[in-house]
Amino acid sequence: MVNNVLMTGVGGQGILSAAFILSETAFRSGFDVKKNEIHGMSQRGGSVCSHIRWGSKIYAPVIPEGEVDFLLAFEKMETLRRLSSLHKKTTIIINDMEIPPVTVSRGDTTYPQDVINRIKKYYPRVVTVKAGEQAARLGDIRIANTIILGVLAGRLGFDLKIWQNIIKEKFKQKAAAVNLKGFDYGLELNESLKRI
Amino acid sequence: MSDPKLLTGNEAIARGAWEAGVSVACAYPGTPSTEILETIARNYPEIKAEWSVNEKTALETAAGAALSGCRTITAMKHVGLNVAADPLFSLSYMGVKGGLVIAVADDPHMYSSQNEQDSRHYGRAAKLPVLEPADSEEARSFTKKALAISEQFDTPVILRSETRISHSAGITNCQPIEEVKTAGTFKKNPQKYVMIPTYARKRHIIVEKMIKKLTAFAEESQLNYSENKNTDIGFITSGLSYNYLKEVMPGYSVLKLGMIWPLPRQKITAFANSVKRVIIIEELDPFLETEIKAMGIRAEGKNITGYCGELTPEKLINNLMQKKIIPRAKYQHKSSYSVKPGTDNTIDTSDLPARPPVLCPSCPHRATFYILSKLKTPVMGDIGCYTLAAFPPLKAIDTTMNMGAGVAMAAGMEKTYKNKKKNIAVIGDSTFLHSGITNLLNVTYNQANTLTVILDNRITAMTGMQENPASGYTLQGSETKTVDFKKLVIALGIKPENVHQESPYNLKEFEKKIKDLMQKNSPAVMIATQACALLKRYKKSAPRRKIDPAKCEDCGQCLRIGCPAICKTDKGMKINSSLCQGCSICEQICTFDAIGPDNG
Repeated sequence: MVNNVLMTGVGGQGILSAAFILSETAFRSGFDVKKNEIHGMSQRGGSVCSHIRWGSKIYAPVIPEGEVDFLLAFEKMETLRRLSSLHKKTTIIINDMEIPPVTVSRGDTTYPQDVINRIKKYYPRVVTVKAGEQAARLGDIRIANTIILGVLAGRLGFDLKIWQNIIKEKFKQKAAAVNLKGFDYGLELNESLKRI
Repeated sequence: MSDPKLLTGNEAIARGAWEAGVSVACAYPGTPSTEILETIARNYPEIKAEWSVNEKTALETAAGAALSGCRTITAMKHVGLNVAADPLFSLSYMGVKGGLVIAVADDPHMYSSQNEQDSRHYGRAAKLPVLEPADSEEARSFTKKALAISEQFDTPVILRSETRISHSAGITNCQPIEEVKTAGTFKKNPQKYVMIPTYARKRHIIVEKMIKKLTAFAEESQLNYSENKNTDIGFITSGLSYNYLKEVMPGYSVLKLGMIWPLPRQKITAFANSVKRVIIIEELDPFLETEIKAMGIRAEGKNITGYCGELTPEKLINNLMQKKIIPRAKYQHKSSYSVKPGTDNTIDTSDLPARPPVLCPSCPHRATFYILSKLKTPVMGDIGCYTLAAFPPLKAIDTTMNMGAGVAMAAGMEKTYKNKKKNIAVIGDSTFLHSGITNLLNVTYNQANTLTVILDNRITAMTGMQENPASGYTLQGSETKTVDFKKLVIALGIKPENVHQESPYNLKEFEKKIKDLMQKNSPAVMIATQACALLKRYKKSAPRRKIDPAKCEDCGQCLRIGCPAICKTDKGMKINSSLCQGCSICEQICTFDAIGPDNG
């Protein structure tokens, strides 16, 4: 059995950190793991994504189209860019947050409306999280990514201690504490959303 | 005792180099190869590592260390190997003493590159072996094998990576370090090391013999192995393509080539004879296909995989099914019930806006290009973040070709295209030091009447903030000599009165100086010095800007600089305070004085 998580969003949203934490968690849980991400030019405010795969044996470092089990969209409309990666039972976790691309901010076009309902119409498993707002409430806007990771963690079954240890190692003391808070909040949030 | 770690391909190459006792590592940064040297500097301080000023210098520096008998590695992106090609072809004749590995990372799909060149050709052209890892574990172990082969056969070895290998992480079975040789010796041997024609002619014969020996090695080596299963089809492949093949076509016979030059003819022929149909799976050029067909083997390849772009698992499976090589029913995957564009279940994505990469908020290049775009003269660009100024609304760059090119291209065009104005070349600080200096010397020597603008942002930004001779710091972050651009360009022959240095943040003064230089009737240089907005060591906190709605006429002037922080909304122009860094360029161009510091 191969498990595939695709993370998508905008450069600077902490996708590389989230991908590192998930891939290390899967690795330390005893699985074969592959992770891919794109660096360089695409990071300058462009759309970015990271593939994380684990199972007994993983070959390709990227997820074949239509095989994503969990899509983590750190920005709302970026979900639409990854539809060909999904299958009907993909769980889609969307951060209900708009980061207008420069094509929108300078007025060439508008931010697409009704994104979440459009997706919900065809995909039964859609979870929306206001991670940006919750991160601000918890004291640091940058932990939106660990909140989303917490929601995912509640659905994966890895030992929570492994996740938490990696978060502690990944960030410096103060940042580690606030990221752990974000992660725990994501776990709690997931409990309240369990039915989806 | 192996210690498994989850490493990217680049981290694994660095690890392999360290395990094999490499003592010198040199590189010029280039996506996707940059992290090889960064990992060495961070994790293995015992290796003498440096950012060299360009790839040619890096390979030459490595060659010097190798001749003393120490192991060395140099790393670069595919186009960097073109810069290093000059030493490469002669070093192949001279041989090495200590192992020398050239780690080169190609970029199929051009995620961060200007072309999709296939570096495997260099092995055949320069007559040296090429190893191609398929994942991180092979990146580590092949780096060690490459160093051993380099010493055994007295030749530099290319280790060919690519974006999806370099930037993918996989489980890597780390080993302890072998013996390190840090102190070398040098024994004169002009017949081997002085490539004058008399000696080089003899060395060429030795190189051809060496390639024969390497071919015999390739026949025996476990780097090339076959998995014999279904005999209907036999796939010949290497590197990343092997893993894509295993992903979508398990259960078929495969010959996996870990060493892709020179090729093991007997092994390939025997494999081809064991199956009914031979299909070669490789990205980019038909490198293996051409060679294998030349062996007299009937094979297919590019008619299935295509020449352009990266291979992906779905591209591979779809093409194999389309060509009826495998029946549709054979491939089961989760997406058989997927919602696909073009079906009844389509989700409308026609209104999905593009999200192109942009110059960052407060990027000093934005101000420079805003001024240059007003001059209406050709602007020859170069390689760096500033290529993004080619996009609207700035549309300020007319060419991007290769490192250093703009300086010479502006001069070349001036010979045949008189615009009554100077042609302009723009080039970043690191790019100028990489290959702009000689081109500017050519400008002054031949008195081309151009204006060269050095975009001096104190760092190599595009590849992720690497130090360079203008930043004042080394790869390890220790202080070093900082180049003085003004003195440098005067030494190259630019008249002192034809050189200005100014921060583009001082927009009016900057524009005045640019216009002054445009009037000169001999070559001129503008040094646009302003630290990259992401460079922490120069970061000053400036108040964010806000727009006073009472004064704003909604004219859209501020949108012309293409700052991602400025938004056009239903209620007029707004500045996104979470993005604004306070460079004040928008404030300086606003005709209605509607923008000012947000002191609230």
